[in-house]
Amino acid sequence: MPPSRSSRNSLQSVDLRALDYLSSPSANLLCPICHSPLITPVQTRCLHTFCSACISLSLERSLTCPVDRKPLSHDDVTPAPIMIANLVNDLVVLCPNREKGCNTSCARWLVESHVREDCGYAMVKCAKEGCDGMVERRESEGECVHEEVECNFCQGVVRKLDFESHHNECPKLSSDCRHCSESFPNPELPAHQLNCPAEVIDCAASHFGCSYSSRRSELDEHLSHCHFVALTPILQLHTERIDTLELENKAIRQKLDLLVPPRPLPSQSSAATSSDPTDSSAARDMTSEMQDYTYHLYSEYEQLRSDVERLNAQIRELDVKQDMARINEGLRYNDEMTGVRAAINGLRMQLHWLVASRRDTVTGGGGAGAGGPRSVAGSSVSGDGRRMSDSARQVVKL
Amino acid sequence: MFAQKRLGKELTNIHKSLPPGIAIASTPDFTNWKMDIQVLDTNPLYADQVYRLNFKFSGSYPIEAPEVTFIKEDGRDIPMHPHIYSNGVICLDLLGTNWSPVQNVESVCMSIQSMLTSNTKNERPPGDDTFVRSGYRSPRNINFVYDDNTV
Repeated sequence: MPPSRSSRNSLQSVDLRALDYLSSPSANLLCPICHSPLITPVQTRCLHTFCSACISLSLERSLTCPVDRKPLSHDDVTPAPIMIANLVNDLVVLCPNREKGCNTSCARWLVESHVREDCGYAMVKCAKEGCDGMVERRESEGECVHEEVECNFCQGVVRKLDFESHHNECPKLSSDCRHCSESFPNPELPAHQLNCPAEVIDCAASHFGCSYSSRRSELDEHLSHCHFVALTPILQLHTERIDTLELENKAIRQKLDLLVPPRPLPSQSSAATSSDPTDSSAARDMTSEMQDYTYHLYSEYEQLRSDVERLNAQIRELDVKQDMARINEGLRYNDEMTGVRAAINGLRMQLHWLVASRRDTVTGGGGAGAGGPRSVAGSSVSGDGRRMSDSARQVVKL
Repeated sequence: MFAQKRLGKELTNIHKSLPPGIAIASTPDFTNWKMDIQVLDTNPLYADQVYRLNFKFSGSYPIEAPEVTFIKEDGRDIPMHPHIYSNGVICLDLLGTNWSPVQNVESVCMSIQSMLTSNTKNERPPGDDTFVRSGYRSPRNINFVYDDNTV
C-alpha cells in the first residue's frame, strides 16, 4: 500500500524572494526597493506600490515614502489592488530545485505546491517506517538509503547513502595521491601528501615576498640561493620587534589615556543638552571624539598656565629676598662705619693730648721757678684729658 | 541575501547601459564597488579629469545607504568641491539622512556628477584640515549639517 499523500509532502519552504524568473518581467511590476517582482504588493497613501516586507523595512528606518519622500506611517500602507497581485503571481518562475536538476517552470502562485507535492528533487521524509532520514522525492520509492550496510573491505558499518564516499576513506582500500598519482593505502595517504615530492609548493620565504614556487623535490636548489631565504632571520627579527613595539605602544597609549582623563567643560555639556535629541549616535561619537581632543588641549593649557603662575611667584619671592639681604648688608656697613669713625675720633683726641703735653714739657723746661706748679697744674689738666681720652677709648672698644 | 540579490540586478543593469560620464571601474563582490565618473561639460575645475568613487554596501542595502567616498587610485585625485573633504569624504544629504531605498548606484553616481557639474568654487569645506587630521574615513559616523543649498 502506498504511503499517504500527506506523509510524502516536502517540508522544504520556498523563499519567493530568491526565485528566478523565466523571462525578465515588465519594469512596472518590480518593487522599487528590491528591484524584484512584487511579493505581497501593498500600496501607500501616495499610490506607490512596494513589497509588503520591503516597505516595512524602509519605514523602520524612515517614516517617509521612499519614492516621493512624503511623510508615511504604517497605517498609510494598504494591500494593493488584487489585479496587481494577480499579475505578479502569474509570472512564470523556475523551480527552486533547478540546481539539483528539476526543469519545471510554473506560475509563481503554483510553485509552493509544486515543491510541496510534485517536485522530484524536493527533500521528503524517507518512506520506510521508523526511519527519520530525508531523501529526494524521486528516490523515495526505492529502498531506504538510511539502512546500514557492511563494507566489503573493512567490515565497518556504513549507511547506504554514504557508501560511495566511504570508498575514499575505507582503511582497506587505496587511493591515488593528488600530486604524484601514485597509489597509497587510505590511512597512509595524508602522511604522504604532506611530503609528496611532486607537490608544487611556495618558497619558504613566500610571506616575505618571494614569488617562486616549484615541486618540493626541486625547491632545495632554489632555497640555497634565494635572497629572501637568506634575509629571513633578519626579517623575522624585525617582524617580531615591530610586533613587540606595537604592543608596547598600545600599552603606553592606554597609560597616557589614563593620565590625561577628559574633563567635561561646562559650556560644552550645556551645548550637548540643548542639541537636537534626534541626533544619531554616530554624530555623538564624532562630537565626543572632538570633545576629547578639546579636553586634551584644555588640560594642557591649564597645566601651562599654572606653570607660569608658579614661576611668577618664585621670581617675586627671590626679589624680596634679594632686597632684604641688601638692606641688612647696608645696616651692617653703617654700624661698622660709625665704629670706625669713633675710633678715628679717639685717635685724634689722643694725638691732640700728646701734642699738647709735649708742648707743655718743652715750655716748662725753659722757666725753672714756675715749672713746679705749672707742671702740677699741667698734670691735673692732663688727668682730665686722660679721662676724656679714656671715655673716647671706651667708645672705640664698644 | 536581500542586498546581494538587489546588487546582482543592479550589476546586470549597469553592465547593459550607463549614462555618459559614468563607468564601472571594478565590482569584485557585493560589498565593494568602484565607479569612475567624469564631468562632461567644460567646467574648468574638472575638465578632462576622471574621479573614482568607492561604494561600500552593508548587508542592509538598500534600506541602509551605501558608504560612498572618493578615493585616490590609479592616478585619480579627489575633486575640489566645498562639500568634498580632501580625504574623499562627501557631504551629501542623499547619502545620509535623505537616503531612500529607491536610489541605486547609478542614481548616486548621477547625483554626485551633477553636484560637481554645478560647482564653481575651487575650495575645500571649512575645517577640512581638522576633519582630515581627525582621521574619519567612514562617513557613517558623521552627522553632517546640510546647511548649504547653494552648491
